[in-house]
Amino acid sequence: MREPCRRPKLLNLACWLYGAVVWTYPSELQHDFGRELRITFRNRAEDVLRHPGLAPLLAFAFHIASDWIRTLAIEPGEAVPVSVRGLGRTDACGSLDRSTMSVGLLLATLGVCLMVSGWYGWLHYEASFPSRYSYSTIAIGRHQRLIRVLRPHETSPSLPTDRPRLNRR
Amino acid sequence: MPRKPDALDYLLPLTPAVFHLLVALSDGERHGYGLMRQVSADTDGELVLGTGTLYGCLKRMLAAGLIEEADERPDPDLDDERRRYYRITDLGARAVRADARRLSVAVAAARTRRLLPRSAGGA
Repeated sequence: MREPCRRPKLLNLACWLYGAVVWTYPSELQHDFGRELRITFRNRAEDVLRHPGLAPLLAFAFHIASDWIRTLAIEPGEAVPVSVRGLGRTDACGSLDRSTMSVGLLLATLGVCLMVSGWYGWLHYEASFPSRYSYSTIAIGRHQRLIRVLRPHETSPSLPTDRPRLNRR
Repeated sequence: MPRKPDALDYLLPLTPAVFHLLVALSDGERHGYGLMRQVSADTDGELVLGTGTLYGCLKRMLAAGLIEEADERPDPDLDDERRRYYRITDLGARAVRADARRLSVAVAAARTRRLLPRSAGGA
């Protein structure tokens, strides 16, 4: 009998995400082993979540991601169009086939990961370097806005203060 | 006179994953996660199969006749009834024996050229 997991919410989230991963696998593998894949993943995730710390989790996530890419590359996907809405094969002719969708989903996921890591990196950079440049930029902006309010005719001489008088005698 | 090729000739050499899965199944029936853990233990953690790789291999091994699904589960009371258990076939046993022999010849050659230590334990 297996022990109950210490972090059931995280386990359920991981299983839900893995369900999406299984959906991208070739339909033959999914049909024959979909349930087994999910059960095995759940057992492994339970074992990983028993270890304290972030390192085993990250190693596990990296292993699952690399296994996903390897499986998509190795397992032969059928070139039969598969409809997302569950249409028959003949009805689904001309729609996207599963391998195209899998690659698309893979690229989209990579894009989201890059975006999130870039955003995190930028936040980290901003937090670690509250530079003079940032402060001076803010100060200059505030100063300019103040001048604009107090002395509007002096702030931007290049801009016209009223409408140009065209064709007026 | 040239020997007539049999089914084994088309299966050998086995891939490392298939070889270790057959070794893990050689002492009894196992389910997918049990196989994954046994392979990891047999290789001192050098080969940890991912779920996709594992079931991709099992699918090909079933198609090639190296393994088969077990009809009865070893202990139904202690385990999840949705699991499937696998057992090695005669062809699978012959294949893993032949591949182990091939690997042992290769290891012996490496020992002769001092690429490996003489003792089996290493060091």
